Amino acid sequence: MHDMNREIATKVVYDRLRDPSFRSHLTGVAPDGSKPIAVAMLDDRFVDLAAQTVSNGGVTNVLIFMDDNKILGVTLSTIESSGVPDDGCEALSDCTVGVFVARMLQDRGTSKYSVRLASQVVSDGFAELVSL
Amino acid sequence: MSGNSKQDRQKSNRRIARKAQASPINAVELWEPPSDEPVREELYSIAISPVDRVVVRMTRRELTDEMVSFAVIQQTNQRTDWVNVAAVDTRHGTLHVHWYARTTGERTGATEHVKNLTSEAEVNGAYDLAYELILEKWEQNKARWHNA
Repeated sequence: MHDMNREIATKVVYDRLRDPSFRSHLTGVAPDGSKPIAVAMLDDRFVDLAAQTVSNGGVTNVLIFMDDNKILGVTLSTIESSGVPDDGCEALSDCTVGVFVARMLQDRGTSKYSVRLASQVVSDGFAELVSL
Repeated sequence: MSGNSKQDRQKSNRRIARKAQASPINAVELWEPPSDEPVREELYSIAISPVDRVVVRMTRRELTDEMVSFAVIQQTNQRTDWVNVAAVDTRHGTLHVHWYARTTGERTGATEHVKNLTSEAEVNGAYDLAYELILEKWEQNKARWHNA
């Protein structure tokens, strides 16, 4: 836990798990019954969240800490991949969480994605904004 | 006056000590989650890095959402499996820490007693302490696990 901002953000999430309303918005459930949470900053790489979603068993409740100290919730879910990258794949594989959020907001809060993971495997998924 | 002999006085003192231990004034009633009310378990895992996460398991009253027990577990990924590094939990009415060994994956060393819990409010307060014991000591816990 060297990154102070992330450390503070993690503490905020840990504390907010006391709040039933906050917990009720974490709707992504992994196959093992747990609700995986990723704390993200706007300048994080989106592909890392996509990779984490694959290793979580296909779902992540992403909590993005915005510049105005608000938290934006996004549920990422993998979908069956054709294995063939779509047109935006290479660009999205390099983009930040902030760019992805801007794209989602343009798409009215939902967005399909296709990224190439470090393993070179293409991962397709669906992202949906969650009101917190 | 046999009642004043040294042996009798020792016997009497031991009797008083036993009585004091058994007295309700001195007894500490440790917190136990309700057994006569519906509860639900919730499980969250918060990623700390690609290879580190903290798992929070909470048991809450179904009707009021009050937390009646919890565990906060530090885990790391070892050869694709998540393994425990350290765990804080409230079982048996005490807040305590379990330590794990990298080499065996099993618990190691003595369980560290942190405090007795005598009420639901204390369980809630202990949730903050668990943060300090796990997340604020992340690197120390990891080093301990690594060397065990």
